[in-house]
Amino acid sequence: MRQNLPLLLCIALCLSSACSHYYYAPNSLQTPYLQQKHDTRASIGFIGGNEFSGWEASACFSPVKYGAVLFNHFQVQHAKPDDNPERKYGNGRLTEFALGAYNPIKKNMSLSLFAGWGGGQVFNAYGNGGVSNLRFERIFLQPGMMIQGKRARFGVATRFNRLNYVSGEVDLGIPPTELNAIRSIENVSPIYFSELGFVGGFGAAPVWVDFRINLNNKESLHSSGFATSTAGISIQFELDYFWRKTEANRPMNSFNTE
Amino acid sequence: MKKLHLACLFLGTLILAAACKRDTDFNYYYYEPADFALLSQYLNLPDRPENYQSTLPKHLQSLGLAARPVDYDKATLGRVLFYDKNLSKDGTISCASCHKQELAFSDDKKVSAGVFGLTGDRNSIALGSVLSFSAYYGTDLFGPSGVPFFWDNRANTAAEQNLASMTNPNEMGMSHTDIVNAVQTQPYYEPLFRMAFGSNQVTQARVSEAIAEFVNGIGSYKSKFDSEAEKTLGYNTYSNLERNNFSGFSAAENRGKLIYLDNCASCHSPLQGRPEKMKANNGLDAATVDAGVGGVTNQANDMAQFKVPTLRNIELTGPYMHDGRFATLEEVVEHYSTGIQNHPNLSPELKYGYQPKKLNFSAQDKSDLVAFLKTLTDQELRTDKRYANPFK
Ligand code: HEC
Ligand code: HEC
Repeated sequence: MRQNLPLLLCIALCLSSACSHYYYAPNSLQTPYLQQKHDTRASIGFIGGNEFSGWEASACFSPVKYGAVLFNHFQVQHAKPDDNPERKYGNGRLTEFALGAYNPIKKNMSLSLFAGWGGGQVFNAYGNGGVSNLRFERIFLQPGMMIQGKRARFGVATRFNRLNYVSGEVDLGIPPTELNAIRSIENVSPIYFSELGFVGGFGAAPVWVDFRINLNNKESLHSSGFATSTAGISIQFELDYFWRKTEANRPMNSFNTE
Repeated sequence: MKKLHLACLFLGTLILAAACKRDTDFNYYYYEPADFALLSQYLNLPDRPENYQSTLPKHLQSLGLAARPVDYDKATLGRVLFYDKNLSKDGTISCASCHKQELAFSDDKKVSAGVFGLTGDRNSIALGSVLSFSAYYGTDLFGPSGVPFFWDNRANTAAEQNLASMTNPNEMGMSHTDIVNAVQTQPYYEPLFRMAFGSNQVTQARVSEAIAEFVNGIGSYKSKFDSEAEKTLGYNTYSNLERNNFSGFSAAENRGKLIYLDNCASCHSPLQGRPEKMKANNGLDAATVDAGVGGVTNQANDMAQFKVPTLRNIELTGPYMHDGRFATLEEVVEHYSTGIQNHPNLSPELKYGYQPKKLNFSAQDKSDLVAFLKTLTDQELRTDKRYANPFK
């Protein structure tokens, strides 16, 4: 899988649709490498896609053995610079919260399953004075896997989404193609689809730099302004490292049965 | 492990709760909600502009006539301006004071009353006397090849025309700056201008353009005559088929149609498309009283020549002629039957040799002709909400 990453990146770029306004874009699928109770991870990074970019933050904590909570925030905006005061513009954000279970099945490998709920909104201005603002909620189930060595790590996860656009305000003066896109989103909501995320990183405890790519398979919605992919780079801190530093036994990269 | 089960249970409930969320319901709006709230304080406008596009029936299309596309935002703004009394010097008169929708946009006065009770010397022209304002006048599109405006043909475009009405001291009595000021002080114009022109800047030219757009959106092509003509002729209007009886007409209406085609259509046009002549003298007076077109061109042979109006909705638009001298259609018909005067510029269609025609209609002919003229009435136009007064 690791050698396929460049290929996937390439596909992601080629798939980037001609639509200039987006109503959905995948945030990163977090696959925290969890080993034991009180493991704590926090990351922050850049993320972007075709003509939009932004940042995202994520935090994960294991309050009990095999159990974890996860928090994600994702925020992007249309990236094309433009002088026109009534220019085309767009932004979107998503905040979500998940509970999950993990199992460090063997040395250097951790499986996880998260179920979460979140919501956000996506705003677009079309350059002719017209705007749209849609609010959505998403619930998801996300199995994932992470392998972490001394200097490098790799993870993969898939996310099953139920995305529901709950409400929105749409200016009828927006371009007809965009109006059609929004109407079709309204008609097909709630939308069930899955996404695939890959992460490859390097570093060493307690700091990692990760490269991410997130792909969404809802082909039929690409013409309705669903971004096909996002890619990001982030930095993650294994915060527990700091309070465990004083502990004699600091099991970072090894399987610990407590 | 117990804790894990608990967590799973909690999660499951959470997901179920989220899954039962309400349905997708987007709120589509045309005016921004704050703008619409402002507009709604003063106006009864629909939440998005009406469709002002006219699709003419086949028999009119076959004459090569088509209504040009209308910008709905400008027409909506124009509609408000058309009914706004603030656009007159004393705040009592709007375009609609002399062009009343229920009267096919004419008034029932001999000569119309304007600001300060002043009256002009001409009868209001029914804007609803034409199949489609833009198709008829060819305004702005065909330029001078369209039919000119006013009884004396003195204006060429709808914008030129309405500016003349606004600035006429006997009509609305405004100066150009008065117009701009009057519009600027009304709060509801800010969003309407923004929608129509992309910015809220008020200029006299924009005011005229918007009114012209509304007027161009007015059209009358749904009379009984039209539905019968479309049914009977379709696109086949090139071979005098209009002489065929219309099945939906009464015997009197069909007889009246033939009398009309024989005596009147050479000027007023067989199908009420565009008139056959731009100007004519129909023998109202033996000597020139109102110079008409001649007053504009100063040509001797234009003296007492007037616009030939089409006769759509003629039943509603009395009194008749440029000076409103005839109160009823019966009087008009009587004029053509026995009253044509030998003005030096009397049009040839109404002459035998050097003498005015005496059509000498029988009593039956006269009532048949009037019955036919009444088939030109378009009831839909009178109540069409797209043209109605938007003020609360
Ligand atoms: C005081 C009454 C009065 C007011 C107010 C008035 N009009 Fe008129 N309108 C007339 C009269 C009378 C005529 C015919 C005048 C003439 O031909 O000399 C006329 C003619 C017209 C015509 C020409 C129709 C044709 O077939 O040639 C149009 C179009 C028109 N008016 C539109 C408007 C608009 C738009 C407004 C408002 C800006 C307006 N009028 C305000 C009385 C009025
Ligand atoms: C020579 C061309 C000509 C012929 C033929 C003619 N008219 Fe007219 N008609 C005119 C003109 C010009 C006017 C406007 C005259 C004016 O107001 O000074 C007019 C005005 C009218 C009006 C009044 C319109 C209004 O809005 O006030 C009616 C009704 C009318 N004609 C009916 C008829 C009928 C019915 C016939 C056949 C019997 C007929 N006309 C034949 C030229 C003609």
